[in-house]
Amino acid sequence: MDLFANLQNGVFICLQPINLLLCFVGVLVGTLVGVLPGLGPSAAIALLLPTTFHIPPISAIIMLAGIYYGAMYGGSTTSILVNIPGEAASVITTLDGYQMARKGRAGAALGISAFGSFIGGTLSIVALMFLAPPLAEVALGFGPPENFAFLCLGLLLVSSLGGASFIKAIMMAVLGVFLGSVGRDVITGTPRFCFGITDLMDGIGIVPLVMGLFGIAEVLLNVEETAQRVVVAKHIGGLLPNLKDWKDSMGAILRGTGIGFFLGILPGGGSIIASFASYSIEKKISKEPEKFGTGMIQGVAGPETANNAATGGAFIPLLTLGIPCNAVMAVLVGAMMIYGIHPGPMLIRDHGDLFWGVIISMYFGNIMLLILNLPLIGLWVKILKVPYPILFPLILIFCLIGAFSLNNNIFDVTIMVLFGFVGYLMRKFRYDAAPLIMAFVLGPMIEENLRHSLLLSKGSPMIFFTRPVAAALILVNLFLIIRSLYKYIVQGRSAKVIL
Amino acid sequence: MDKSSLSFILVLSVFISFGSIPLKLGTLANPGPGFFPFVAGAILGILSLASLIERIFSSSGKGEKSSWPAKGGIRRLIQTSLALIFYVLFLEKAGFILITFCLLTFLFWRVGYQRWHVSFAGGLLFTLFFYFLFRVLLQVPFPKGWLGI
Repeated sequence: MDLFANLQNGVFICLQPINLLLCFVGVLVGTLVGVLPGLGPSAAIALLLPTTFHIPPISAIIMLAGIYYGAMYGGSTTSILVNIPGEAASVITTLDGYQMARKGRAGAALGISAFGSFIGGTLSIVALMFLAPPLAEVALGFGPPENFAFLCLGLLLVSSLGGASFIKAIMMAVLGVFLGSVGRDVITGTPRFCFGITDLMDGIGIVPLVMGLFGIAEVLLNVEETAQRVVVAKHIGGLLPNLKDWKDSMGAILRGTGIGFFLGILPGGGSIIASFASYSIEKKISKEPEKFGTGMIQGVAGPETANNAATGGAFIPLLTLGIPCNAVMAVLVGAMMIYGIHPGPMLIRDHGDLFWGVIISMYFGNIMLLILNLPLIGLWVKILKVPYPILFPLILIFCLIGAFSLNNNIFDVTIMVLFGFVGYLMRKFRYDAAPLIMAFVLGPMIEENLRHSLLLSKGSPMIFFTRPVAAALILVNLFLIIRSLYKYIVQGRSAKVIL
Repeated sequence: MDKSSLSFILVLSVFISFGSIPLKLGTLANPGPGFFPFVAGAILGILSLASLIERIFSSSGKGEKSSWPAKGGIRRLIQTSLALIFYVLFLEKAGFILITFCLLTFLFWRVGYQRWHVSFAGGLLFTLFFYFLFRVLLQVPFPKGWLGI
């Protein structure tokens, strides 16, 4: 099927009323999640997952994907109006966005953020559309050794690009691998670490785990605080950027698109790093770098474009190789497996409808977000003013119901609450949950590919070095480990290791 | 890194590794079900032990400090945690409506510092809202408990 025919098919799928409606629900929920500090797209996707069990998988993925890129739009609202990032990817927007709001230019900041997000998101989808199919063709030639090496690379990159120290991130990744092994062994059926609990035979569910680590833990962290949110602007006008705003921002928007897309593809890269990288570059090339932090529009346009462009890039490894490059994508992988869809190079071939339907839905989603974000600013401001002591019990109930409704089983709720406490302690001791989630999802795939590779080679580890692609990937893995350990030892344990 | 968290992770790694042995490690040619968790446990143990030793003998100061909440924050945290545990223990026995009402009212009142009649009304209102949304609209079967609804 050629590209035009695929696009036509995708448009036809997306224009079905149910898919349009669910795309709208997804981006609306995503924006809400982005506006409200605390929940995050990972927990929101996990929370809404049980509600999608009775709808077709394509429709479900359209909605869940909408939550992800919708959250990037919503996160900028709180950054600009309250100086508190709604999402981690909007942290950098607080520097100049809030300053613009203080100077009475909240409308311009919100407007350019929305338009930049739209342009970045849309262009990254175009790139996704052209790059994904040929990449999937290449990946079809991968066997268990190549898959093993590539999955390990993904985990290592997430660990080394993450926020905490490399050693801590690797420990969390290894712990995630262990948690992923709980349950019946896929090959022999032997129960592993089930302690006689029947509910553990199918393993720990991804939904209660994510909702616990990201949802419950976040609420527990927030109830410690009593600080009130102050919204800086009572009335927000002038949402459409003027000619000067466009002139000042267009370069930042185009650069942000490129930076965001390519960093989004990288496991461990994603929206957060993309937004930081864009800000750094804009400041470096600016004729007035000293003014960054005082309300420069480029400091809003670039990062906000980059974090949305990264969402398009993040879908490439997911939809073509079946490898999630961040925690949100890992939850989407979990969701797809629940629907019986195995993401990987065969996805485009075996589930072409799903691939092209989701891609086209992202175009529609970005248009909906642009329309939603500007006129509904007043609504988001009202929501922001709801005191957290009122909100957090409602968030907890959503999480508790969400976990219960998975299998109508109190065990899932127990797991979620338990991991909520674990997640809280992890944050207190500064351990990052993202590598744990990634490893939890990738661990079983890594194990399966490792065992198949060793079975193929009759136990010889040389299989990883005699196949060229696998050998190259293993060498990259070893290089990453040695480089990261060297930097850790030389610079000290507090150093953040970046490639 | 905090010594206590590293010590806990070290103990956990020993548990994982020793717990994997009875599952059969197999051979390199045919790895058994215990092979992968054993390797994971071993790596975790090595990393945590090395970090712990480095932490103990480190001369660069106390290292990263965890940020624990102030007294009021600890109280709210404990109340919320106990409320969650209570919810899990009694959801199936007491039923969704009763236990959700209790949780919401308690959290609004004791953790959210709302007046008791506002908390009561809010708890009731939102319980009915969630019941309508999830039970009636989305057909999620909730436990009926003592009230039978």
